[in-house]
Amino acid sequence: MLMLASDSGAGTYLDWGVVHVSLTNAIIIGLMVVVFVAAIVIPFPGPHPERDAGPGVGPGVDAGVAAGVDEGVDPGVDPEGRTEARP
Amino acid sequence: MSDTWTARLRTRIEHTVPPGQALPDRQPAYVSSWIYVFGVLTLAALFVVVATGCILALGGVDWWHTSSTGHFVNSLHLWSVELLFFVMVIHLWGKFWMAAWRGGRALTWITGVVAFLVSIGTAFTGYLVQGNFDSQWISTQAKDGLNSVGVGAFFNVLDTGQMLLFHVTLLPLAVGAIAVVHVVLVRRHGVVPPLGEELDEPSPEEVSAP
Repeated sequence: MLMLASDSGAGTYLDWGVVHVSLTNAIIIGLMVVVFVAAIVIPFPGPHPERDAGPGVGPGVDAGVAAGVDEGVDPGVDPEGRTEARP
Repeated sequence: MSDTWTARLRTRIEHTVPPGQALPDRQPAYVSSWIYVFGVLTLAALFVVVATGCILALGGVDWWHTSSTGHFVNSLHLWSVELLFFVMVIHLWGKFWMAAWRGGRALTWITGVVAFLVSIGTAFTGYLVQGNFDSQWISTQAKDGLNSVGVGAFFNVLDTGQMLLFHVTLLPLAVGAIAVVHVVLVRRHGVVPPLGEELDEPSPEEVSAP
């Protein structure tokens, strides 16, 4: 059972079985989880040619050409993918 | 080509990271995601940590405890470290859940893990050399734990001079060197694609097919 313990002047701690963590650290860890999830869920600004082009166009493909636009429209996309594993 | 050490070194460098991959201006489409931002955020925070640490080293303990400018730089150093660990752990989570060691990137993953562990040691010794009651409390609490695992003889947390040298020379050099190797490996192998979207790696079916 989660318990909240406060010792005067020594901060507030959360106790849950073997877990003993200060409320401050728990809030920071929670904030990190929130930022982590947000980084996955929130779309990155800028053009997304592979998304606009529909299925069949994957990352690393020449996304600008696949989307029917001239190469170089999206300067952030590498037409060669640069995903090859070098020995 | 002349058989000089400079020519051999140049060839080795060009083989390790071809010029077009060292500082690229184009990236794969999948890099357009916020989760891919946390690696460079970690590097940016590390740069601020090192820069403010150099200024603190020039000023000295009295300066950062008594001068308002010293307080400010000391706070910059502390909060940039807090941010460093905040974004580095999110970077670690992101890479762990996308199995970033795929495609011959095992060494990239391992150097990242080592950089994380050495960073913890660097931050720990930083807390020990603040020169206040906080550092005294932390060192007296830590000594028993470290003695119990047998490292107290050569890593004495009550020896402020030793901890200071660990914090300002040995460990920062280690973190910096590992970070450089880590970034070079990222540039050499490319940014890891999301799970299931590898283009150049054979799928398990292709590998197991006769």
